[in-house]
Amino acid sequence: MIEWLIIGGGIHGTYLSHMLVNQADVARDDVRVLDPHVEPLAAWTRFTANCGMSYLRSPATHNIDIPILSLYRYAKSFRGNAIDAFIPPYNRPALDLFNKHCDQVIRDNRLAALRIVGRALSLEKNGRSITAETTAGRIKSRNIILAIGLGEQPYWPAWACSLKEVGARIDHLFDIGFQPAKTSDSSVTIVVGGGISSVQASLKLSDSLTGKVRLISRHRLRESQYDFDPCWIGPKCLKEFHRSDYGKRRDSVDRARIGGSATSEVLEEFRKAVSTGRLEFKQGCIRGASTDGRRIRLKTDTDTERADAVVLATGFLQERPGGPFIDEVIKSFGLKCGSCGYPIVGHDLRWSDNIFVTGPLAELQLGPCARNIVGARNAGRHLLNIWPSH
Amino acid sequence: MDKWECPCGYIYDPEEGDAESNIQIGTAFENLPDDWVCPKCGAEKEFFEKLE
Repeated sequence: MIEWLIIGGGIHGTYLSHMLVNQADVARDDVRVLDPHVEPLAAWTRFTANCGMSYLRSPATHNIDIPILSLYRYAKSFRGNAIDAFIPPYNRPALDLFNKHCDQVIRDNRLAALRIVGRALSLEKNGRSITAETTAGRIKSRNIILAIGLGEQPYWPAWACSLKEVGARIDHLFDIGFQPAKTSDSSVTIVVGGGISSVQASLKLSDSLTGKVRLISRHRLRESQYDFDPCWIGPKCLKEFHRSDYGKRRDSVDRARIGGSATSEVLEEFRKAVSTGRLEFKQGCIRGASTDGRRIRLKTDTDTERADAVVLATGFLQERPGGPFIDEVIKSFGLKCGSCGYPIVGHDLRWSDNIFVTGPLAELQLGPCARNIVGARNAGRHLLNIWPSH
Repeated sequence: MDKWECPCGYIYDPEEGDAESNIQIGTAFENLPDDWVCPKCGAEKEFFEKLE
């Protein structure tokens, strides 16, 4: 039996495995991370590469190492070799630098060795421990951390599902194995979305595809340097958040997350690309879609658009992640959820005697930053409350 | 004088001070009042790290 099984090996699961071993002093042999991907941070790497991200939206202090300044130190070292790879206004790292730093943290701390490749199927209570039934066999653990992100639920609007069903060339940017459909000089690829990923993806596709690329957004492109106001990272906003009931907490999270916006430098590049004719932008809400087997017709509230291929950059379904696995865990352990379906957990992120959560599952406790990199760091701080010496 | 960084990403720069909290330009981090907190997220001084 082990002490800690983390289900989900993305940014959150990887950071928390590092925290358990190197900050909470849990023996390496007592920590395992269960994840269906062979490589650590596989989903992160795929999403960021697919959308063509150059710089993170978060500052350098939001990284997967324990010391908050670790990424700066790495950048200054010969291994980072990228001392100037940060951009203002608050030192946001280049994606390449961030990823190399992650590799180094994982390598130096032998975090990959903690991983088990597999998927959790169910959890069963066995006295004071839990047995996880997984595709890699049964794993008995004293404690479980559910570190499941939204990565496996890209959002497909109903009109897009109907197109997919009839075999139209439509893909989601965050689908596993996403490859933009090959196009000819005269073809049109339409990107649908209004957030930073859609803008970045349009820029990337306009570089890699030979035909026209057009972005359709429901709203004008809005500028924001943040996913959410940084007050949500600390007590400035979280104090009041923790005083409110769970219904209000859900409203606060939804209102605080600045969806459908992009950073100034990404928007500047996009506007430049539009002004030089490299890209097109149209504002409109898609009301329906059809295909004649060759081309796709998108009916918006203002116009009709025709495309040879469509790429969805519509983000993720905002439902509680984990699907039937989490549904079953809730049922068999009798776990509490808010009316939004998300877990109601304690200050130490404890959902039951020995089940803990992080990431979006911890949103009603960690607030709007829960699913971001800094959410993993905050989760780590909350979990450390379990050990009185920290 | 040294700059200090908050976990949220805010950097306290003595050359800028913190007008919102009536901290004058030229105030070293060490001389900030004990009850001073990060103007962005509200974290206390103890959470800041000195930038090298």
